[in-house]
Amino acid sequence: MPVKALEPAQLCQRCDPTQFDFETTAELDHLTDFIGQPRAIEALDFAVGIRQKGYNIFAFGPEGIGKGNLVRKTFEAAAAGDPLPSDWCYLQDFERPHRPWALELPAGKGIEFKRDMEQFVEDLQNVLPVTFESEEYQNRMQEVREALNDRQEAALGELRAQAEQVELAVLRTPAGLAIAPVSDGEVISPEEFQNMPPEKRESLEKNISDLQEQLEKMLINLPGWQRELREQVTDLNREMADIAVGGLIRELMEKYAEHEQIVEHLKAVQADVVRNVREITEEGDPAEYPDLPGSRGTRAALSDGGARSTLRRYQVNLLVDNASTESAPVVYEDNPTFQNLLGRVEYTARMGALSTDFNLIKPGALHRANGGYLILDARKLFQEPLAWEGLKRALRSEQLKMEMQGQVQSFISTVTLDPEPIPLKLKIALLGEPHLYYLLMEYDPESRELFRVASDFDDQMDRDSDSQMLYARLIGSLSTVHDLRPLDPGGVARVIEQSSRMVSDGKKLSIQMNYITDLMREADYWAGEAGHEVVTAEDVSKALDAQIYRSDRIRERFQEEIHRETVLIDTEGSQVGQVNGLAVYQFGEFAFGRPSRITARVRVGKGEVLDIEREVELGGPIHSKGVLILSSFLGSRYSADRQLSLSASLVFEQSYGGIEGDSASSAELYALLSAIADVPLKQSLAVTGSVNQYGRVQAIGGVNEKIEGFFDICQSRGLDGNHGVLIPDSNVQHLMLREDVVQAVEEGKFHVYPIETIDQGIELLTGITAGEPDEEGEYPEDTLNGKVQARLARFAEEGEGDKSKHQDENAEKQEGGQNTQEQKDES
Amino acid sequence: MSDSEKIRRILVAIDASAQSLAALEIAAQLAADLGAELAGLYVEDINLIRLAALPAVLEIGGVSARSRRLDEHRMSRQLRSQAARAAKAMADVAGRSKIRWSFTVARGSIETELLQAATEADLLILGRAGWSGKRKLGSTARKLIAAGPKRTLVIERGERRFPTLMTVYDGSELSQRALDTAIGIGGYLAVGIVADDEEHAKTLQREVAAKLKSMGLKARYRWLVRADTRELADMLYAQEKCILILPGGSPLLKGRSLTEALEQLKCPVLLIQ
Repeated sequence: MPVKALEPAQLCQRCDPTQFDFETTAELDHLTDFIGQPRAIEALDFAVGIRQKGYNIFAFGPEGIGKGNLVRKTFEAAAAGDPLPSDWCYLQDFERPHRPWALELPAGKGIEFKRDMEQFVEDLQNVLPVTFESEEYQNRMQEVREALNDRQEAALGELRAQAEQVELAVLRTPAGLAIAPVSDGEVISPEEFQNMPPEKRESLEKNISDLQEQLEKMLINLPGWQRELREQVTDLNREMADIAVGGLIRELMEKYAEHEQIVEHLKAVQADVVRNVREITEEGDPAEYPDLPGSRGTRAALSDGGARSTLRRYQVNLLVDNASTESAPVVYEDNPTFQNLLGRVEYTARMGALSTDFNLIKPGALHRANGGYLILDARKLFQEPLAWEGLKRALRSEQLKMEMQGQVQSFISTVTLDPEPIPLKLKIALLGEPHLYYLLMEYDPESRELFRVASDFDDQMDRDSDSQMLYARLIGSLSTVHDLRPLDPGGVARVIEQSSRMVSDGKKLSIQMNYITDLMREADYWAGEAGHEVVTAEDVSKALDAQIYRSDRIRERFQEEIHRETVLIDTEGSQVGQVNGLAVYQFGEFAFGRPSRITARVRVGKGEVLDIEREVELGGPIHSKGVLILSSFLGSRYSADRQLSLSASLVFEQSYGGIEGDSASSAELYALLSAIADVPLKQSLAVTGSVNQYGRVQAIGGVNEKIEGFFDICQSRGLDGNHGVLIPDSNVQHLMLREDVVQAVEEGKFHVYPIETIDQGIELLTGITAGEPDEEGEYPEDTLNGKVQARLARFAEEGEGDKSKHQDENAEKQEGGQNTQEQKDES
Repeated sequence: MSDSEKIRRILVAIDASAQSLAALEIAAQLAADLGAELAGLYVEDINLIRLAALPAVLEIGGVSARSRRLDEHRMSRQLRSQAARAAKAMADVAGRSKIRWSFTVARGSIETELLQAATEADLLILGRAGWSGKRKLGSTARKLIAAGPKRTLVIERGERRFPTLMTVYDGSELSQRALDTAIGIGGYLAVGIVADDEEHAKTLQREVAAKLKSMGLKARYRWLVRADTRELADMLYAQEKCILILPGGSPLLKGRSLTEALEQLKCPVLLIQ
């Protein structure tokens, strides 16, 4: 029974606009729920609900499916019920300056403490100078200094007095002191000295050397006295500083009495201020406190960094501030580098050297999301060096440990910090494409422990009248959200049809909302151009046509080559061993079909079907698989009880790129059968579909593009009612053909045949009955299968004869003659 | 103000010590303010040269406390290098202040040479102490003041040219000269009046005010009731930092030596004698 061509209604699963009882989508309720993702949603709810370690989420699905949106909304809903996370500060550890310690405070307390400490630093700068300018301090300092002066003066004075008694004087020389004999306040001249009576001179010399000895002893003591002075000055400075800073610290201690750690820190601050009072007071003009220890030169050198870096120690680095947070945080980190995730320690260059302190610790996304939720893009994360490992380390240890990237990689070795780790508790969702998830699970077993929940997003949903209504509401919501014109029922129906076409399935709808939104934006534009108040079917079609036109330059060039017969495609007449196959080309998002001539040649051989594409490595493995199935089919069907003595070759004519897929295997089989039976095939038909070992035609992908590809060629050459395409019967449900194709079918100018078996197809292509085998497996002679069987039988006999040729050369001529004779008969 | 009180030439004694360098700074500022010439003098102390020639004398290092033998040659060299440092400091400071200046090196007794040079100057500027670095007045300063040049400004290290001037007035000739000098230098003026009773004090204040008014100037006044240096020191403390212009024979001193008074006052003091 011949196959009936499909009815127009079967060619496109139309969406009937009359089923919608609204005027425009503006009337529809806003759709806030996500549609078509029950599995993903359940996984997310489960992951959010479970508080155990490792129940993080990997949400995967195609790009633009709305994963991020859904995850964010789920997180936000959960975060609203969570407690506010703590503030975190880093503070100086005065004992171990390289190891700042972390302070946890209730939300909002952090900023308060930070401001209080800033105020403290400011007050300190005022209070210390006032203290050191005070009369009390000045007088006490004077006292200390004068005590030393007096001591020196007393010692020197005594010496002077002794000297005077024996007519000597203590004189200052450029480099020290000397004892010299004087008379009338003047040093005596050498002559005078020489002319002295020897006894007097000797006693003078003795006196001089005695006094010199005493002077020496006195001068030796001087450094010790000066050290004592310095110690006294330091003690005095510290005492005064302690008094000055004590008041400030006490106030703070009372305020933060319930925070034991802060109280301890304040004590340490006080001790540190007292210890470093000299550096701190250098902030001001050193000349104003001349009594403070420290030479002016040193002060000038340090005045830039010295005091300020000392005061920085008392500040609070508020790493995480939740003062204005209303619920647990939901953070999306757009650029998940190692440092953006785990935080970093910055450096400042000072006089050519890199230096840092705890104030330069900067938080990462993990700090900000601690106590809440973090969303990351998996692909970006994996592309960042070390980021994935860093994230895993943090999740595994449940600690945020600041490690400098440069340090990890040993790029830099300079003064650096080792901040105390902060406990980490948060829920992470990674967003990515499915293959990323599968690869990760395959190659990184550890990630299974850390991302235990997979949230699998579908790219399509079932299409029925309920879901179409839901889809209409979704479209309405999208047009509201994106501030677009509302759609009328016709426009909605057209979008729904396109949605089915996108997933190449009349029974499904695409939920890749980014494409749908693009389409709506473009339709809105065209509606605006056309002056429409609402977006109609016409505007949607226009948007689609424009989309195609923008991207179909290559398709046009392909078609042009066919018209100009650079690429040979017949669309009328009949040819032996030649059939129109159909291929799909994909450029970016745009896919189109194109016919391709497939030819087959046969001769006597060893039972092999030669796939020329395969021989030159232009055919992929799936294509080769299809061809091998063919030889199996041929052998088992027509030559079950003897050797298949056929040698056939198959080729995609004028194909210079690679060929992959088995969707041409039915076409190849038709070409083979035609070549074997020597029966011509109608060139007005094109074929697609794969075939199995029993001759059943199986579904293929891209059926719509393939049909349209052949239709376009035939239409431009003129449709005469004979043109058509053979598709697998199982692909009928996927049909979402263009309107012009449906139109042509309605007018009887074009046909789409659903094919279940090779026999159905070959009958259509040759117009000859395929034929059924009798009990012995023999086909009637006048059927196509019969002709194939007969030819193969002859090949087998010839093959036998061919073997004996090696034994008897005379037989060769005879056989050769016979072969020629047969070919003549058949043609 | 008589023309004789005008300061045209300032003599500054430099021995390259920190004190004398501070004196040099202020001297340069004053010279620039008054448009006066600055004369620097370094004296190679004849006593030291003699000392070096004495066989029995050793030099004991001020810091190292080591004894060293001296000889004339070495001493001369040391003095020369000090003189060179003084000359360089002079050139630096004067160059910065853009003033007329000269620098002389003399050999002899420091006091004699300085007093000699001071006769040609209107103002002598000294560091309080030389190399000894003590609070008390140095031996050179002490002797010089005793020898009594007309005007001597004694400066301590760390002091600057303060904008306020302060003087004491008792109606005597010296105190009038002090007032004239203050007017000549210019700046904010504070006057301490020394008088036995309030009436006299008011009279004296009127005198000063009249004189100042004729010059278009004003001053703050205070009656120093106790009339001693301690009270003066209190008044100084109440002031912004200032230069005190002190007449040598002031009753304030109550017969004590000027040098003693100087040791009590912690500010630059310009002595008028």
